[in-house]
Amino acid sequence: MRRVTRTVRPITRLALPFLVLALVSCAGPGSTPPTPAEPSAPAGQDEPRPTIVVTYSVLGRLVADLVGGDAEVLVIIPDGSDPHDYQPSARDMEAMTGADLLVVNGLGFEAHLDDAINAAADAGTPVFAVSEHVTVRDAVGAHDEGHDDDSGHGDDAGDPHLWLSPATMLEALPALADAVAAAIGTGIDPSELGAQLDALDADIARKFAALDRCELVTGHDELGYFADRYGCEVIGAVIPSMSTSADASAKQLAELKAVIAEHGATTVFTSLGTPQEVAAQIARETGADVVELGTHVLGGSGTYAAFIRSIADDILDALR
Amino acid sequence: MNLLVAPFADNEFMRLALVASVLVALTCAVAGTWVVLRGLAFVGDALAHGVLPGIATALLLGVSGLVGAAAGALVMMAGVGLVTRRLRLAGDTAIGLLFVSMLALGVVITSRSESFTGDLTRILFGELLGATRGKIGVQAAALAAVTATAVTCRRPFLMLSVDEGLARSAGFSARLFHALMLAMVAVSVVTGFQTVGTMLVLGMLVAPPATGALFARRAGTMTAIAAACGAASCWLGLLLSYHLDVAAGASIVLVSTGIFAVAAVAKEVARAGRHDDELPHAHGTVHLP
Repeated sequence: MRRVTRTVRPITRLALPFLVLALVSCAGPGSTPPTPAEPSAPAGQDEPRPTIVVTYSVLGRLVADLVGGDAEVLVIIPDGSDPHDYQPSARDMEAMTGADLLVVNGLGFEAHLDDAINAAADAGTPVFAVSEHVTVRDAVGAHDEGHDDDSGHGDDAGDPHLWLSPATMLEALPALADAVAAAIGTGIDPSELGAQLDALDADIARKFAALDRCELVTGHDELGYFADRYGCEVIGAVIPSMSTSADASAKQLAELKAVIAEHGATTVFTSLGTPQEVAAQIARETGADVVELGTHVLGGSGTYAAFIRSIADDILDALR
Repeated sequence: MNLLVAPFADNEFMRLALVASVLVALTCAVAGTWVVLRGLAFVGDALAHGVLPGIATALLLGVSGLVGAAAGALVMMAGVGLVTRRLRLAGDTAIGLLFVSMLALGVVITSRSESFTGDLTRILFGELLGATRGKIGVQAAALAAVTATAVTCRRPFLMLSVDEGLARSAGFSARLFHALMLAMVAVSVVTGFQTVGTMLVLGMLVAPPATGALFARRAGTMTAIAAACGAASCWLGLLLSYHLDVAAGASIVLVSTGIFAVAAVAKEVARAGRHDDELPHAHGTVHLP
């Protein structure tokens, strides 16, 4: 018995580095506090600035663009993490309940943050849901028409991907400015940002109007607002669902192939949370290209306008 | 007939998914025979979930998920051995401890990282409809390795499944062959996760061999029945996903457990019809050669 025990022990020693590795890589990102949305924010001021907490990065960037240096803007869901899947930590809860204003998307987008958002609201944090101040799009995608009875496709809550149309965000801007002003006690003028978004919207509309046609195949149903605004049609998706959490079925993929062939689509636009190998296989079988869009990732975009512009340009480059 | 074959003829993704999942089913049939005979289902379950932090870490570091899963399985098996021997706790307590801690660690890593691109759902349920030729190659190699091990170690495995003392008195190291058996299970889980996901590989590891155990009196026959049931489950499951618009990996596992249920009922009905002339024998009893 004793002898055999000794022969097994080296395996344990071999395995230990892996366990340590696992623990270290978990401790690194895990201990990161909610990230500031403005990298240039002055640190260590004498008087603490009011804090606005925003659930995800793109919306956080827009809020930061709006308030400038008048408040500190913190983002809960790390940029690059899938907002459909994100689970809050205790530190996130502290930031949300301690905020002067909590800005959320709504419509179930921050699925696992809903309880935390409600708890923060109960604790007295003012909550601004962008979705309550815009025209919400029906959650049923264009390609779902005709079989709305399919369970899991139609979601009565509406399409949560508001931020992908600057025109939609413009609708919410005055109310957002009022809410920010009330929370931080400083007047906020949305007109400059408003004019910038207006110009951006007009510019993108002009470029898309020059296309013969604009038919989009996407990762999940994420480009509805964008497509509606700029005369495009979302003809299919790898995961025909408002969330990335759904699973692909063989039937949906066969239908998607048929749709791609019928419309002569040349590009499959994927994004965060799209099953990459499934998308690649569909592209291979239909002769289409795969283009990754940063629809859920702010990345290095300096401003919200730059973020939208890069998505629009990526789509235009692929369709031209 | 068209309903049964056309989906595969028309779509390459269906053919790749079929080949990949059948290879997983065959690998699991070989390893799963010993899982059922030796009562290792809980270890298999623990391995299937214990590899999660390894996969998550590997994806974070940009390494193949396969390497991470193997590391996770190694930590899991070593940890179980350590807790069992050093702390004198029962094996299932040790497995339970390691199981939950590894699973929780996996969730912590995937949820807190800023650069995590492969999400939890796809690790747990796989990306069967995105099966690639590379994955199929890895799975074929795993099948070859597991089959070679099972054929070579057939006698000690059989004795071990009947009684550890029997194996020892025949001159076989019980610990060595137990470890080899676990290694077969680990290889099946580690390679199978990327096709059907960690959660569903367990179904393939248990359900088809359990169906085999209902009828077979020899380990080889049991593996053969398991392989046939597993392969049929893959084909039927993919057809269900195609015609009924449901998730592919889960359909396959549901079909395989469904086959077990139908087979078990059929066997009970048949036995009730002839209970006078024959004594019932215990399920899964294997006769030594």
